[in-house]
Amino acid sequence: MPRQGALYAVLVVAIVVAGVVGYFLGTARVPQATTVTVPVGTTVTRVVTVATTVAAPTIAPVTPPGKIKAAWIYVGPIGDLGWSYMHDLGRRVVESLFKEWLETTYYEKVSEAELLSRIDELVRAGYTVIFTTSFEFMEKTYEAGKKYPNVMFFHCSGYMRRENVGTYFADLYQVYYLNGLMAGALTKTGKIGYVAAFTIPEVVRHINAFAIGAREVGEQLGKSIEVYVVELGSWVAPDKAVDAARYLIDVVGVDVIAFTEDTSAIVEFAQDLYRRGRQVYVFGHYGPMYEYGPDVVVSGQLVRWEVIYADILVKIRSGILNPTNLINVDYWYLLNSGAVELGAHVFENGTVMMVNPKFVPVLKNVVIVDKLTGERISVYDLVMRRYEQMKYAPLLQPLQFSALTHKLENLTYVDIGGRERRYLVSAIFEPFTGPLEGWCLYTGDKAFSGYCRKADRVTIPAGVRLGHDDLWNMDWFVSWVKYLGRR
Amino acid sequence: MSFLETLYQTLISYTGLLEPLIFLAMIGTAISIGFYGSFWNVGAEGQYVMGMVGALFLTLFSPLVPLFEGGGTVLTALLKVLVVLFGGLLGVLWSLVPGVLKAYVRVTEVPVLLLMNYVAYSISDYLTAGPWKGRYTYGYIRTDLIPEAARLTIIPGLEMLRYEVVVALVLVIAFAYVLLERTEVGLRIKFLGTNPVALRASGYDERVVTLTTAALSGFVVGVAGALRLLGYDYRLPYNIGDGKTGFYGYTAILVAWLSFRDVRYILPSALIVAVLTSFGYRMQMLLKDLLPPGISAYAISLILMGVTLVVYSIFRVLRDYSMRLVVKP
Repeated sequence: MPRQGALYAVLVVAIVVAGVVGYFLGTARVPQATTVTVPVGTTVTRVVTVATTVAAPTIAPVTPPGKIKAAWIYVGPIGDLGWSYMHDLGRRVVESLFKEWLETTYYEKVSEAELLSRIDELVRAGYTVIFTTSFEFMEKTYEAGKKYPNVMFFHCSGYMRRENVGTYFADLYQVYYLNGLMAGALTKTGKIGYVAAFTIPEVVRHINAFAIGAREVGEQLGKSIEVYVVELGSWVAPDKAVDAARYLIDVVGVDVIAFTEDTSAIVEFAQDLYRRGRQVYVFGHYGPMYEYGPDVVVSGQLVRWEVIYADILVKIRSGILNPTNLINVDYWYLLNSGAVELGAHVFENGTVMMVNPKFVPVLKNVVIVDKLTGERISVYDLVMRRYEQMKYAPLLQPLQFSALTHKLENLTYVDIGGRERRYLVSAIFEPFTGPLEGWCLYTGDKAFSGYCRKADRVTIPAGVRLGHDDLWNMDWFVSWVKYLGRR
Repeated sequence: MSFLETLYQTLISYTGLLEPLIFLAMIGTAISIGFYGSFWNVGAEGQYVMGMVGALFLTLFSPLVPLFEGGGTVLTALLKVLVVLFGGLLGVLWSLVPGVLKAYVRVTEVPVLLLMNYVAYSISDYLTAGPWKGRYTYGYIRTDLIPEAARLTIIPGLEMLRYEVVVALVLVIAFAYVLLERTEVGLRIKFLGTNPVALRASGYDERVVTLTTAALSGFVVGVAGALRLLGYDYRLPYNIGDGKTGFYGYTAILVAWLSFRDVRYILPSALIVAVLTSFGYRMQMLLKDLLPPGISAYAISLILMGVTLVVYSIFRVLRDYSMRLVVKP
């Protein structure tokens, strides 16, 4: 009918006109990117008079920001119960804790291609602290840092920094090692599976640590431990992850699975297998996944990003961090800092269930030798002992804050002379201590570690402890890890 | 903050708006050309990806860039034109497969086009993970970045725009308008869409016109894909089908629908759809505490687009058909 047609046309025209008018009105009013008051790093002016009297040094006043607007950009959905969920949990913690001066927001499911648009929007809305929480955001975060020199960016898991772009990471490899100890005790076939999102150094490190732990226990029990790795090529891919797990269980014959994938899909799959009469042990990843598989989850890795977020935000609030001095800010927090934790469940009172009670008796019954002391103890006690050993590193946390001090982190002791002589710096036990044998994933100029640039096999001599850079560039698997390719 | 205020905020945040607006308009135009000739191009997504693949190939794996690099403005401009045209050609290749099947074997193009999208995704993923896997990606699966010389020029102050992309949009819309309103080829395409019998009766080969329609539609989409890669993404990501294209190829179908299949209304309808896409994000940022948990920005945008499509369809039906309520005695 003509009347209805006209009505419709008017409606469309109205929408369009409103859009165009609003747009042009708006562009005229877009607020300028709010500038953070930059505390000019204590400039000391010294006036020397002829009479050699020194005038009192004048120090430029430091004005930390009164209120902070911080935004988080996640690669996955916050409902994933893994990576993005835990980052968002961290955001919610600091938002509640610092509610007097902190305002937060977030974007979820952001792809690399649209990252810069989202950052533009956040900056225009007045956000001056932006956390980008995926490795693939690295280059674009750096680019955004160049574009908005007054905004502070923190990129999780990367290595590109500038004056206003810092990096941070809470690494799980020590926890994976502890998981590996349990896996070595529980496996019957000696075959252990690992579903990896990507074989980037972070994940390679986790797989190796897990394999080292599994072999430490498994070897003593007469099992020949082999870890089979399947790569997914995606952080969030529940269907693919379940497919890979099924392949590992049915075709390869593994009976323990650990994974790096951001959902609880594998845990649910294993619980489903248990209901149908097949026991496969799994380890929860990143989030508390115990509830999704109470009969199959042995333990797992938990992360507390809030430990890092709180530290960053407090340091911004007090004027310590500002857009001129982030170039060496590179958090690398391990078990000692509390940013990572062993376990797969958080009780209501906030404490952590480190090992599923269902499997504690089994682990207490397996007795092995602690290779450090020669003592005969149960696997459960060994896990707890190693946990305590890695947790206790009295001087490590200050060193883990800056890229300048990372090289000191693999010092076990520092010689301070006098009666004390040896002072403990980092943990007395580290999983990545030689002798270790490995093979390179990449060789020649495609490799990023010094070892693999020179040869295609890696040999770490006995007693040598790998440092931050070796761990950070890890592109080799220990010899008992088998890479099965991508699925 | 109210709903209306959020909408207003969305409208004024041109950064989040202009970039989808331009790409939706470009691809929407291409799909409209197809719609005129009854070529229901739901395969724009695949043609778009192939445009990106083509552009990446020429810039990273052919001697083209070293040949033109450092040769002044004219030569770099020529380089970009060549790369974009090559992307367009791959788009043509992708739309011609269903085109040929439709013209010569009488296979309905819609399912073929949809399937071709997944073939394009798979090809891109295969290349990204295999022969084209980058050397400087730290073990990550993706290609290297394309050389600086081939990247498009950012407009200062309007960082989400590129000079070349704006020019291309103007050219594309002008091309489509002239083609459809001023040329005989365009007339034949329109004939094919409205009255194929008359087309045949006047002595034209229906099959050739179908192929022309498919090729033109695919070409413009391929151009958009190449521009996207040269101007924004600079590399191919792995799992490209996992939302990494922004699904512009699918969303632009809505743009073509809302424009009444008239090229002149492409921009306004692209604006509406672009507002809907960025509105979800806006809402997430500004109203995060009011949203039910688990509802993402993307879901909000999809709901809004769905509602728009439903309302549009209802009005459309009301316009095209007269309805009478007949009460039987």
